[in-house]
Order: sequence, then structure tokens, then C-alpha cells
Amino acid sequence: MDPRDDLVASILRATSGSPCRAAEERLPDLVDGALDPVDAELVRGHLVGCVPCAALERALLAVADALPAMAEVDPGRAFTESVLARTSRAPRRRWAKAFQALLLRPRFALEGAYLGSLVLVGVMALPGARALPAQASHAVVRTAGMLDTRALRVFAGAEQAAAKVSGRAAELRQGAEQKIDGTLTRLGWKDAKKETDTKKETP
Amino acid sequence: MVELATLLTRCRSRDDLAWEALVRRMQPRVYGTALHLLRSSEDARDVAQEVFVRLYRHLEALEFVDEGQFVGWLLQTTRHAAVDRIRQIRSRPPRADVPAEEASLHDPGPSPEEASLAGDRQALVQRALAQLSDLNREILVLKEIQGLDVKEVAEILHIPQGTVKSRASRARLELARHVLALDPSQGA
Repeated sequence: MDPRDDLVASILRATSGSPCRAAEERLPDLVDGALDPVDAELVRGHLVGCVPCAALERALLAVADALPAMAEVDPGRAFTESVLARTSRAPRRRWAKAFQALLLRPRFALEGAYLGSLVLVGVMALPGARALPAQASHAVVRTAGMLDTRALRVFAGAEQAAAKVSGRAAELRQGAEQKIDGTLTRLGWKDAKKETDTKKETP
Repeated sequence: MVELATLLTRCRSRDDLAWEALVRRMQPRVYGTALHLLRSSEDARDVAQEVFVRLYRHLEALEFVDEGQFVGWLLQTTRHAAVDRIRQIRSRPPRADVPAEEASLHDPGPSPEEASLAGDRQALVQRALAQLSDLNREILVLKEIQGLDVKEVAEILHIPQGTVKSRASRARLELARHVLALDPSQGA
């Protein structure tokens, strides 16, 4: 050790005490270049004669160099796969597609109406259904009655229409047969046809 | 490279490729932060995964003015998830074959991640970092490692900006002392 440093250390011990603490407090700013010029020169002056503080400054520089490079750590390829698996929308999309396809089926309305009727009948058959308000029960019966009457009317109308069509068809057939007979008689083919028919009938 | 703002916009409209790109881009920072705070690769992976799942679920609701705000949100969420995990670990009863005083989060040996760090110096700093108090380590992870400014760190940790400044300087000194204690050649 330089005898002058030894003298300085002795004087400081006898007066203000060790300046190391004051130097250490300013070291981070010195490393960052954020210390004002006077303080920076004073700290550098201390570092020249103080081995522990100089070592601490070098360690601070090493730490300042290493820390920013530690910001990113690769978790490995499997990590990305597992995150994507946990955030994948594929299963939901498949469900949505299947549901949409079900809704768009042509028979869906018919099946829905059938199921609705079954549920209604089931509900009406339940023991608790008696507890339904009388007004609601009347409304259901009235609606059913109206539907029944309307259905009967539709069936009666259909029968009348069918009878009309059938009568008209018979008339047309009779008219057509008369016309054919008249034509055959005029042409003289009717007697010949009768003879042929008689021969066919004779064993 | 696609800008982060563009990626976020695409992610909000549920572009799966953009989401994959966002995960790949941000996962080293999220995982790195979780690893430095938790010091366990397994817990860090779980926490990082949880952060991305939360981000995915709230993509539509989250509004970010700029990239810095997004990174701040991501690191804040990582820190919250890591703190929750630490509480969870500490509330677990110690295993029967491990004495209670030895049951701690500190891992004396280098982990595989430590070994994979770019150099010996980073591995050394990683080990020294594990010896700091929770708050000092959080400040260094957010400010010195992740590069957030004092205001952002103060908001994330819910402490005054002055405290962040003074604590950061002291934490660096403490870290440097631990580095010297672990490897005196770093002061030579």
C-alpha cells in the first residue's frame, strides 16, 4: 500500500470515519453515468485507493451488463404448443358447426313441433297439471276444440271436393263411351265387333 | 417483423396465426419474468401459461395505447400470477421428509434454465438474484431486467416512485455483493 494512502486512512479513522459508505451509495449512479461531475471525480478518487469499493464497482458493472440480457428466457417448444392447446377455439367451432347443421335440417321444424307436442302432452299428464289455473286449462281446451272443429271442417270440405271430382269423372266417362259407340255404329264396325265378342264368348 | 399493434388487432378478430405469433414473441419475456420471480422452471411455466390464457380470454376487453402499455400489462399480470403462486406454495404444508426450516423456495443448485443462460455470468447473477428479498428482486426484475421505467414499476408494485428509485440502487449494490461473495473473481 502507498504510504500516503495509509496516512489518509489513519487520518480518516481519527476524524470522519470510513468514506466507503458514501462511495458505495454513489456507485450505482457512477456506473449508470448519472452522477454529477464533481461527485463522479470524488468517487473515482476514492476507488483508486480502496480495493473493496473498486471490486464492488466492477461487480456492479458485471451485473449491469448481465441483467438486461436476462429479460428473455426460452421456455422451450412444448410451451407454445401447450398454450395454443389451452387457447384453441377448434372444439367450440366444431360444436357450433354441428348445432348449425342440426338447425338447418329440413325436418327440424317438423321434429321440433313433434317434440313440442310430446312435451305438452307430458306436462298435461303430470299430476301437478291439475294445479294449473282454471283459466289456462280453459284456454287449452278451447284451443284444442277450435283446432278439432277446424280439422273436421277441412276433412268435410275435402270429402265434398273428392265426391264432386268423382261425379264429374263418371259423367265424362259416360259421355266418352256414348261418343265412341256412335262413331262405331256410323262406321258399321259395331256389329262386326259384337260378332267377334260373341265368338270369343262361345266355347 | 409484424408490429405488435397489428398482431393485437388481428388477435382481437380471432386470427389464430396472429395469436400464435404473439405467444411466440412474448413468451420469453413472460416466462423469463416468472422464472426470475419464482426460481422454479415448473412453476414459471404454469404461471406463464396462465398469463397467456388470461390474455386470450380478455383480448376484446383490453385496450392498449401503445406497445409499452401492453408489455406493462403483461408483466404486471405475470407478477400477480407469480405472487399468487408464491402464496400458494408457502401455504402448502412442508413434506414430511423435509424439515420445516429447510422448506423454502431457494434452490441452491443451478436449474436447467440457469445452465442454458447465455453465459456463466448470467448464471451467477441468477443465483445471486435468488438471495435478494422479494421486493428487491421484483424491482430488479421489472426495472433492470425487463427495462420498465420507474413510474411503471411503481404502478405495478403499488409503491411510491421514490421508493422504487432508492430501492433499485440498494438492490443493485446488494446483488453485486452477492455476486462477489459467490465469485470473488468478478471484482478483480
